[in-house]
Parts: sequence; structure tokens; C-alpha cells
Amino acid sequence: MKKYSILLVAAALSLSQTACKEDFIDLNPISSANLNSFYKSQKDFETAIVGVYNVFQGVHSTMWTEYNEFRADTYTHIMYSYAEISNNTFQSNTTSTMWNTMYQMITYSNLILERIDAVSMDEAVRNRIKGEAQFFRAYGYFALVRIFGDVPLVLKEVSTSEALLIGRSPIKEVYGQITKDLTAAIGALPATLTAAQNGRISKQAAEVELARAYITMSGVPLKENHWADAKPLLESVIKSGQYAFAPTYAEIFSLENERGKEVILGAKFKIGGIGESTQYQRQFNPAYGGNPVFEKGVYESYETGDLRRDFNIAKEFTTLEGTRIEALNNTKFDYGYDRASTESGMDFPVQRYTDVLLLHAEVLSEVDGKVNTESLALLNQVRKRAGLKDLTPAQVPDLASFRVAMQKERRSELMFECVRWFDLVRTGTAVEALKAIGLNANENWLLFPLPQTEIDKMQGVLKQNPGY
Amino acid sequence: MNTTLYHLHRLLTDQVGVRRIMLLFATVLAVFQSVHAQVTNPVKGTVSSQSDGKSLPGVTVIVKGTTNGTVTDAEGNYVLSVPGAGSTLVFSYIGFINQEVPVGGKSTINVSLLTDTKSLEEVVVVGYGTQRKSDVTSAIAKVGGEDLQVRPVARVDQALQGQLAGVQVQQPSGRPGKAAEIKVRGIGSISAGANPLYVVDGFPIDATTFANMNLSDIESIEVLKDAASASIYGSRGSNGVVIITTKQGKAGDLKLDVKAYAGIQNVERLIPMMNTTEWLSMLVDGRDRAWVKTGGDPNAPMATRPRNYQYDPVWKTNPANVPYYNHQKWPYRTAPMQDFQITASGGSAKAKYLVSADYFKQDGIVKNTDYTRYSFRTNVSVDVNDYLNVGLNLTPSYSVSNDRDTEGKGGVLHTILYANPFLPIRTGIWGESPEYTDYSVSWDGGANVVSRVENLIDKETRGQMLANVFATVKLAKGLSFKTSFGANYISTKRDRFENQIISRTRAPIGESWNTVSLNWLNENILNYATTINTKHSITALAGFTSQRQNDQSGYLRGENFANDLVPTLNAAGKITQGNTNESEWSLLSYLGRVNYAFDNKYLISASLRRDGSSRFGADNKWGWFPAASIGWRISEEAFMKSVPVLSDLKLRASRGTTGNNNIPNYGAVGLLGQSAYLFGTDEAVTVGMYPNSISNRNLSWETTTSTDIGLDVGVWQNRIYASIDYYNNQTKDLLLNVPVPTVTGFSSELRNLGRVENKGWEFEVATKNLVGKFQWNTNLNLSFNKNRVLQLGPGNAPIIGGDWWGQVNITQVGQPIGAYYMLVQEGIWNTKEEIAASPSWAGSQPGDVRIKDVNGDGKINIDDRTIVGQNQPKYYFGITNRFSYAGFDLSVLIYGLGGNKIFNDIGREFNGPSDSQKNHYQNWVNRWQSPEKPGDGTTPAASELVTGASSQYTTRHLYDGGFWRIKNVSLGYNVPKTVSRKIKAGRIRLYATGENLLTVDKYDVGYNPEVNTRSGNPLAPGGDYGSYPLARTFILGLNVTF
Repeated sequence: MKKYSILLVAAALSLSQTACKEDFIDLNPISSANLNSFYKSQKDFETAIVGVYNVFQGVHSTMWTEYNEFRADTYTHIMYSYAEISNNTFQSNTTSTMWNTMYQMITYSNLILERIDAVSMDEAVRNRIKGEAQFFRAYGYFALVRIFGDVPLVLKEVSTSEALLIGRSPIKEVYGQITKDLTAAIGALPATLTAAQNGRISKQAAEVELARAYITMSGVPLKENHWADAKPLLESVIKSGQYAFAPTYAEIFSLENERGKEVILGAKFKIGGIGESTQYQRQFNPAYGGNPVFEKGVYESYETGDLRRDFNIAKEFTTLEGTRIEALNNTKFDYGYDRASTESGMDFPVQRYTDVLLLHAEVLSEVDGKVNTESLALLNQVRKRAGLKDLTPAQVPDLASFRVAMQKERRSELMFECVRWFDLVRTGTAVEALKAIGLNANENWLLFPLPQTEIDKMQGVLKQNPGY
Repeated sequence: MNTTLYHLHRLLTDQVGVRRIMLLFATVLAVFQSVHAQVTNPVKGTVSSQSDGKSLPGVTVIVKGTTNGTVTDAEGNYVLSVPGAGSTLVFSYIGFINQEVPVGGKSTINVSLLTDTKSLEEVVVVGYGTQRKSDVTSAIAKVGGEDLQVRPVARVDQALQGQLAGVQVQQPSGRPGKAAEIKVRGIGSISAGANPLYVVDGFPIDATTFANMNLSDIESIEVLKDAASASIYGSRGSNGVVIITTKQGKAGDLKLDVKAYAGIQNVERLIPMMNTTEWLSMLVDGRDRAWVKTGGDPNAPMATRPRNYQYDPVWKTNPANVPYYNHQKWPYRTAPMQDFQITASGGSAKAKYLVSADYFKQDGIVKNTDYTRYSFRTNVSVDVNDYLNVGLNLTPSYSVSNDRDTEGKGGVLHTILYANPFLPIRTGIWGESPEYTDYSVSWDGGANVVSRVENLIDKETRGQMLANVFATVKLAKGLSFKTSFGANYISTKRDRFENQIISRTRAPIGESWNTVSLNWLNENILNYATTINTKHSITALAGFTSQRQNDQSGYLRGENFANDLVPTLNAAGKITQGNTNESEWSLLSYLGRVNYAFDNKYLISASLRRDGSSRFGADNKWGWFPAASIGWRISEEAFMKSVPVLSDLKLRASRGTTGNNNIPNYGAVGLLGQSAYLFGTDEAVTVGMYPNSISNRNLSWETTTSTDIGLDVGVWQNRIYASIDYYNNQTKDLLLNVPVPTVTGFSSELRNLGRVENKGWEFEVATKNLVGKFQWNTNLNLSFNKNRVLQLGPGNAPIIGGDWWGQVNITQVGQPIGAYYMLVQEGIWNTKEEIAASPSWAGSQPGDVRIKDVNGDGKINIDDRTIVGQNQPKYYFGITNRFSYAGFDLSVLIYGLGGNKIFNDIGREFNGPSDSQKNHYQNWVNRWQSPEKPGDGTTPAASELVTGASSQYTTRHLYDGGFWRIKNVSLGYNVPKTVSRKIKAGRIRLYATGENLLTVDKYDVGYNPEVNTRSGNPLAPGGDYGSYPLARTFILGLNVTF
């Protein structure tokens, strides 16, 4: 019958156009890049890992200094979150920036690690990207665990409802994941980087980060003895032969040498109106509009004759308007600033070879339980470059005096490099150091408060740190 | 498009064209055609109605089993060739029972047809079909096209106002071509829109396509209000469904309707502002007060005061000598509007057609604003043979509107209000006075508004084509299959050019927006109807539909024009912005419905739809939308026959689920952001991407479960017919952007969370008050709605709405969406002693407003804000009275609402204590001046130095929004047929119409109590920041039918 043939034609037509009915209603954004069409190819993952590097870069513009040197006995401020962090007078959501940024770094890394194995690609590239993602996940947790203590440990993409159930994991567990990720990263990352790969995470960068984690785990608050675990890592970096102790201190801090042999890992910045510059000087250098205040004793912490003092700190500066002002000024990180564009292309050193040597010196003695001769030699190598006399064994007769000398040396050498606060905490000297600059600090200050908005959102699952 | 218009033009001018279209269809479908019967001898006759014996024109006469047939002419006569004596003729006509007559060798066959009482009953269009009104068990409101066509309005949505219970039509703006807002049974969504779904002849379309239709093409509009009627539209039904059915041609001779009207419009009213003398008194008072407040000596020379506290002494000594200009009148004019249209319809036994063309032009009551529309329609349907019908509906339209920045903050109509009343509107080229350079006239970011009205180009064009082809196949007795394929193509373009006179110090700026949208739909519906044992009546349908839409948009901005000569962007020195965007959605649906009636007494209906949408999250792609309803026609029961006064009594109840799928096209998909990092010793920029928003695999439609109980009562042969409905709509899974734990890597997520309810009562009463020679009918509808938020995001945190300068709306649990949240004003402080004796706003001085200590904490501050009302009306009504006598007819429509308030947002500029060199509302004549001259007790003291809470938004800025309006009065005269026949016309009607004739309200500081500046933002409704007033319109019209 003809009429049934019409029915058949219509049915066939309607079926053919929607035969794959799930495809018909599965549409992806046309005008915006989206998750559904991403993480599908090697190129996607190469692009995705750059997104994580970008977070890492953002942290080292000003935030890392804010959470470190302002918390420590280096800087204070009269305004903004700088003042809150310095004086422990937090508003309810000040720490959201750090919390959110680190969980972004972790989430983006998780997304890569969860999806990369399902995509076929060059194995070397896969390994490298996985190693980088593992490094950044560990980097994020290492920051979080030192700043907030127990934190929610999220290792895969989670939905909102799942996230609501994730409470804080104990510090020990977080460190367990950090060491696991970094160990895996060391195995996956390249030992040498090509010129084009400069700035990427190398095997050595992962080794330094893991050594830092072990050293931190050996101090406050965990106090587990991991000194011996740190030792081979640092030795591996030194033996790699890729890095060198710069002949003079000053030459390290210049645009020419910021990619030099002293730097194991730097956060890179560049001017040119492309959104890749650092805000560092605009925030921290009074000559360029920043206005931090030096805590008392910073300038005086240097021994007489220490070349690094006058390189790092000037006693006066000239403002952009040309006014000369007598106040302390950070002159160590004042390169790379372009007055015309008010941008700066200064890379921020995240891992420096001299730091590796000092950590190695610390590790050797801590492993031995007494002042190790090689330790002292390393310490003196650093002192010599600063124009200081060697310390004699008589000046550092025991581990206690060695520790004091080592922390003093680290402060002088690594001034403004964002190691001070974490050094103070792990060596158990933070409260005392803050009291020395007139702050009524206590043990609660060792951790920052969690953002109140997160506590509210998690509806009782997250608990605030004591003292806040 | 142009080609189509050309062809339509041909069709209209050339009757042959209509036949051509039918021929085309016949050719295309010839494959299905049966062999034509052999023509032999002619049979003729007359067809009449058995009830009154009058001849019936347009009756279809077909030789049974063939496609051979004709229709009767105006006198009911027909002539038809039949193949032989064995043939049978079938006579059919709507409203009459079909009659079959064997030819049997006769050459004349006269027939009288029996009235079909069943089919004469009113039919209601429902989703994917029709139903007898008596069988309806859900809540459906209907208005006939003829009731709308008396309205001289640009848009269909405007004509719906006051017509239907449960359907609130708000006209916030009088700008020509501007949309009205339609809400069916309240607001059930916070962020997914309250617009109902519009369906034109089965094709779901956008609100503008609906509104741009030619009113005269409309046969009827039905609004599906409850879930039982709307759930057949599944995930798009929860805001109600407006079904528009267009007119079809009827078999018979060509009928030509020519309609024309023309008229004038004027601004309905002006806002009382101060004249020069009154304003100067306020200036002097306010500047003196400020000077004294700062400790100044009132007798010190004027020059010792700060500049903004100074004034010209003549303002005080002889203000009457300063000139006065009433600037507010300047933008307005008496504007013409006109409409001309022609409709040709008719058809043969097998083919029916309707072709119409409409030209509508409305000049705005504000100078240089207008709206012009050309719309066309072709509805054709052809019975190809006895089982196949094919058809085509084609609706092209084109509209142009011009605006001049009339509305909203900074708009012409807002800024002209505060223009300095003592300076002429054209002082200096920019409007500033050489003498009073400090006191500029009507500035808006550098340009005199007058220059905007005279120079701005802001033109919007919209071209559109809605086309739908369909075929219905009768498969077996009672079983038919309908398939259709349609598309709606819309192209809009907006061009704007601010020339040198407007942009003043900047170079001219040109902008251009364009959008292109294509929506296509395929529907396949199987229908079945049967009656078993005469008592069991069953109708059923099952269907499968697919729909997809693609939207593209673009924007360009050009600057550095060398001069004003060329306004298009090719003359721009530089294109400074440009982007294009594309997005899509798709919808797949399965649907089914069964209606069962036992003995016409017990009715039951159930429907089910399954929708899958591209918008829903991957784990929630498909939703079920079931509904069921029951009805009991009590009047059909034997025991009711003893109550003859009750002609109809039906109890209905329904419950069902609908959805609102108006969520963002890709809201469920996480988007990527772009970033970069530097690699290599050369620090090469390498692009990276990161997840910018979270994927919500569960994102879905908002769900409304609605319950409706209704009673239909007819008394005295339905001379009084009333319907009462109670409904309870519970909406859950409201779409909200809520904060989420950042451990997810994101801080907020689009989720289905909140809950809101709408409950209400609706009454519709239609009475035939007088019948006979003098007829008087009344239609009344009255609706009550109560809206309440039940749940919001995490912790039920309230959502504050409004703009940064006035966050006066709050959405919180237990209150209606977007309730007003303000300080409560309790008069004016009179003395320092009064202020000292009770809590007051910091810094309050005598003459400042006194705020109620709402929270009772002994302090007056921002924490004393409280809920002080709502913008959603608690009730609204429409009354239409129609009278007719001896060829004259009169109809009067009154529309009104109440229980709502209006926030006079604009008051921050001219209802505050500081003159700010702006003219003020006239109530400032009655401001507080001293304890002895306390004024109206509400308006504070004028003071250029604002103290206390006088500049806060208090209840002083909130007005009762209730009003009633004589919306329309139409008086018509039908020329007697004896006269009309002389000019060979069938019917001639002359009429006069007045629109917006009278408004009774308490909103004396605004043009229109229906104002809603932030249209489309339910979180901050009812604000007035300057609106285009409604026009009062007078029209004369003529309808002629040939």
C-alpha cells in the first residue's frame, strides 16, 4: 500500500537523521575550548602542562614572598594582606588566594595524570609530562602542608558532592604523597634539558624538591629523621655536573645569568605587554612603588664585611618622582624592571645551587650527628664568596652551634628568596624569631588560618586551625 | 529572502500564483496519486442547512473514492462531473454531519445537511492536537483571534494583556516594537527565565517570532497552564506553553479581506517636575542649609562660600524673573501609526489556501523612534487523495526599528527630566549656558541628550522566515500519521553610530551587531481515535520529534572616523573590537498521550514525554515528564438532569511534571581558559590551557511539579460560564551558580539546587448579560498568585539584587523572588532634641529622614533594612464588556493589578536632598524646611551637604504599583449588507479605537506603573530608571470583506 510506503519513508528519514541519537544531543561548545574536546592528544597534554606552569609562575610573582618573607622576620607592611600575614591579623578569607591557587595547581595536575595514560603518544613526552604533573602536584601539597598543616588530599578529579566529604588528611599522609609523587617524577623527568627546554622541570629540580621535603619532614612539626633520605638526592644534583657555584654573589642576580648555572629552577617572567611579567618590584621595591617595611634586625643580621649585605639591601632609595628617601630597600631583586612599561622580566629563583650546597652541608652533619668536616667546608665556601672569614671548628664545636651558624648563613645568603619562614618553622625557631621583632607570637602562628569560606562551603567537614 | 518576498508579492497580485503553489504540491506528490477517474456526465444541485433552510456556501462535494470534487458557491450551488450512475457524492462541511448520496442517474441532487451538535462544540487546541472543550481535564486558557484583533498594537504579546486568567502580560515600555513580558502562573525560576514556550502551528519558536506575527493571521491562542496540559512539551513546559493557531483557508469562493487603520498617538502622561521658581527655592534652601551645617555665617558674602553652596542672589530675591522651560515635553510628539493588510483565502474541495500580507508602521511618541514591519503568510493544504493531505505554512517577515537611547540610566527620557528648567534646551552647541557654565543642561557623559535624539543612528532590522511542510496519512480508520519538517531562520542586525555632535570630544564611534539563527524541527506523530460500544471513547498519540538550533553572532566596533559623513564601519579609521560567536542546542523527544472518556462523563488523560537535550550534563541527558488528569462531568449524570439551571458542571484535577531547559547551551561542560608560560633560553611564549569552569555531569532542567484543581460551571444554557482553578506549582532543581569547595580546583559551579513555589487561584467568568437585539457580554478574569522561595544555595544564603548604587532587592527563603529590602522611613527629624532622644542614623540633622530601628538594637544603620514589599502583583484582572445593537458594537477592556510596589530607582538623581544641579520631582515643593514648615512629612530638607540617611534608599522611594487602566475602547459600525452589496463587498466595518485611555494609579513620579528597567533579571524586578512611556492612541479603521 502506498500509504504505508509514505509512513516507511518518513520513519526512515527521521531515523536516519537521528540514528545515533546520543550523538545528536551530544554537542560541544564551538566558540570556547572545553574539557570535552581536550585531553585527547599529545598536543593537548603539552598544552595542558603549560597551564600548570602558568600557575607556578603566578605563585612566584608576589604570592610566595607574601606568604614567606612577610610571615617571617624579613618584611612587614602597614596595609593589605601583607599586614595581615605579617601581624597574624587575618580577615576571614585572606588565605583564599594561596589555598585556591595551590588547589588549582593540584587539580590541573590531577586531570593530566588521570587522563594521559589513555592517549597514545610519544613515550618520552608522556613520561616527561607525567613527571612534570607529579612534580607540580607535590609542589602544591608541599606548599599547602607547610602553610596550612593538615589539608584535604585530592588525587583525582572530584565532583562537588565528592569534594564535600573530603576532610583534612594528617600532615604525615600528605608528606607520604609528596615523597611518592616526587620519587616518581625523578624517575620520569629528563636528567638534561635542551636549550629549548630551559625552564622546564628537570630530574634535578625534583630531587631538590624531594630533599627539601625530607629535610622539612625531619624538623618541626613531623620530626621524623629523613636526613639520610635527603643526602643521596642532593649528591645526585651536585654530581650531575650541570650546575656550578658562581664566582661572585652579585653576578647571580642579573637578567644575563638568571638562566645560568646557579639556577636549578626559576619562575620565568618577561616584559613586552604580553601578560608574562612579574609584579615583584611594583609590590616590594619602594623605588618602583612598592612599600614593604623591613623588620628590625634584617640589615643588622649580616656580619661586618659581608658583601651580600650591601648588595641585597640599600639604606636609601630614590622614588620614581626623584625623591631621595632614607629607608631600607631590596636591591637584590631590582633588575629586569622596565620603567617605561612598569613591567619586570626578572625570573624568580625557586631553587639555587648554593641552597643545594648549604642543604647538603646541613644534611651531612645531621646524618652524622656531629659537625661534619665537609659540611664546614661547604659553609666556608659560601662564606668566602661573601667576603667572610672561614668558620673554624672551634667556632662551631657542636651540632647546636653548627645549626645556629647554618641558619644565620642561610638567612644572609638566601635573603628574600622565600626560604626564611619555612627554615624558621622546621628548625623550631619561628616563635622566638617573631618575638625578637616584637610580635606576640605563639605556636599557633606556625600555621596559617584556613579560608573561612572553604570551611563554610564544606559544612563542618573542614575544621579551622587552632588559634583562629 | 528577497526572492521569497518577490514571489509572495506575485502571489498576492496574481491569483494564478496560488494555483501554481497547489499545482507544485500536486506534482511533487503525484507519485502517491491514484489514477484520475474518467469524467462523464455533470450533476448539479444546491446544498442547504436542514435547521434553517439557508443555503450553505463552501460545502465540499466529492465523488466517493476519487479525488474528483468541488465546493458550493455563495448561493450553495454546485456543478460536478461524475464518472457514472454508480457513483456516490459525499457532502461535507464543518459543523455538519457528512452526507452520502448515490447519483443513480440523477442530474440534480439537492441536499440539506444536519447540524453536528458534537462538532459545533468549542474545540480547544492542545499540545500536538485538539480536544473538545468539554473533554478538557487540564488548565487551558483560550482567547480567540477576533478578540485580539480589535487592538491597534505592534505585537501579539501586547494584545494578550488582560485576556486570560493566569497569564500576566506586563508592558514595561512603550517603545515601538518593544517586547511585553509574559508570565504564566508566576515566576518559577531565578536564572533560567520565566518566558513561556511559544508554539506556532506546532512549531516551538522564540518569543520575538511569536510577537512579530500579524495579529489578523491568528485564529486562536491557547495557553497551557498546568503540567497536565504542558508536560507533553516536557523540559520546556514549566513556564507554560502559548499555542498559536493561524487561520486556514476554507473551501469556497475566494474571500478577500482588506483591513486598514490609521491613527495618532500621544504620551499618556508627564511626570510632575518643579518649575523654575520652585526649583530655585529648593536650590537656595539647600545651599543655605549646607552652608550653615558646615558652620558658615548665613549673612557672610556669597563669595566666601564653597562654590557649590553659592547661588545668584536673584534666585532668592526675584525668582519669578528667571525664565522657565518645561523640557520634559521636548522629546515627545504626536505620532502617527498605521496598518494595512490584505488576506486572500479560499479553496476547492481538495485544496485550501490563505495568503496574507501586512504592513505596519508605528512612529514613536519620542521623536525619531519608529517601528515598521512587513509580514506575510501562506498557509496551503492539499488533499492529494483520500488518505494523504500535504501542506505548507510559510511566514516571512521583516522589521525595522529605530531608537535614540531613549530608555534606562543615562537615556534621553531620564536625563531630560532633570534638565535645568531655566536654561533653554539649546544654549550653546552642547547645551551649556555661557552664563551658568556650572549648571549644565541634561548632560549624559558629555553629550546633550537633544543631540542624541537628533543625531544618533541606532537601527535594528530583523528578517525572518518560518516555514513548515507537513503530510498527514490516514492509515486506517481512526489511525493517522503526521510528519512535518520545518525551519525558522532569523537574521538580525543592529547598527549604531554616534556622530561628532554626540561623541563631542571623542571621534565618532560606530558599532554593528548581527545574529543569525536557524532552528529546524522534525515531528512524527501517530494519532488514533476510536469509540467502543458508543460509550468508551479513546484517543491516543505517540510521537518522535527532533529539533536543533544554531546561533551565530558577531560584533564590530569602529573608531577614528574622520568625520560624520559615512556612518558605516568602512569609514572607521580603526576597528577596535570585533568578535564572532557560535553556539547550538538540540533536543530529541519521545511523547505519548492517551485520553479516555466513559459515557462523556468520566474523563481521564495521561501523557508522558522523554526529552534528551544537548544542554544537559552527560549523566543526566534524558528526563521523563509524566502527567495525568481526571475530569467528572457532573452535569451529565442522571441525577443532575433534575437541576436544569445547571447546563454544565465539570470537576477537573491534574498533576504532572514539567521542566525548564532554558539553561546555558554548554553550562554542563567545563570550559578552558588560556594562559602561557616561557620556555627555552630565549623565553619563548608557549600557550597553555587550563580548566576554567567545572563540568557538571549532572546539570539538568529545572523541574516543576504542578497540581491543578478546577471547576467549570455553566448556568442557564451557559449564559453564565465560569471556571475556577487552584494550582500549586513546586519547582525544584533551580539553576544557581553556587560556591563549591575549592579543593575541586574551582570556586563556583552551575548547579540545580534551589526550590520555589507558586500557588494561586484563577477565575474566569463569561456572561451573556443581554441577548436579543441589544447584546451585552462580559468576560472577566481574575488571578491571584503567591510566590515563595523555599530553598537557595548552600546555607540558604540570600541573594541581594540590584545595581551597585541601589541593592534594594533580596531573594531569600520564605519570601518572593526579588522582594524589596530597604530601610523603613518614619517621617523626618524635626529637632536636635528629637534626634538626641532616640537612635538615629549617624550624623542626622533636623530635616533628615528618620529610619525605623527594625532590628531593635538601639542603633540605626544598614542592618535595619527589612523586606518592605514585592514587585510581583498579588492579583491581576481583565474585564472586557461587549455591546452590540443594530450594526453597532462597542467593546471596553479594563486591565489592572495590585499588591505590588515600584522602586523609583531614578530618585537617586532627582528625589534626593542635594540639588546636584538637577531638577527634582514636584514633591520637593513640600519638603521639610523647618519644624514649623515640616512639609509632607516624607520629603526631607534640601541640603547640598547631605547628612544622615537622607540619600539612602528608604521606603520613600517605594511606590504602590497597583493600577487599573482602560486599556482599550473600540466602537464599530457594520454597514448594512444592502449598502455593502452595492459596492460588491460582503461586509464593511468602520471602527474607532482608543488605547490606554485612562490609568488610575498612585505612581505619580513615573510614566508607567508597569515599568521594569532590569527586565529579564527576576532578582531585581520593578526598578524604574527611566522608561519609554506608553502612548495614548486613537485609531480609525476600516475592514472590508469581498
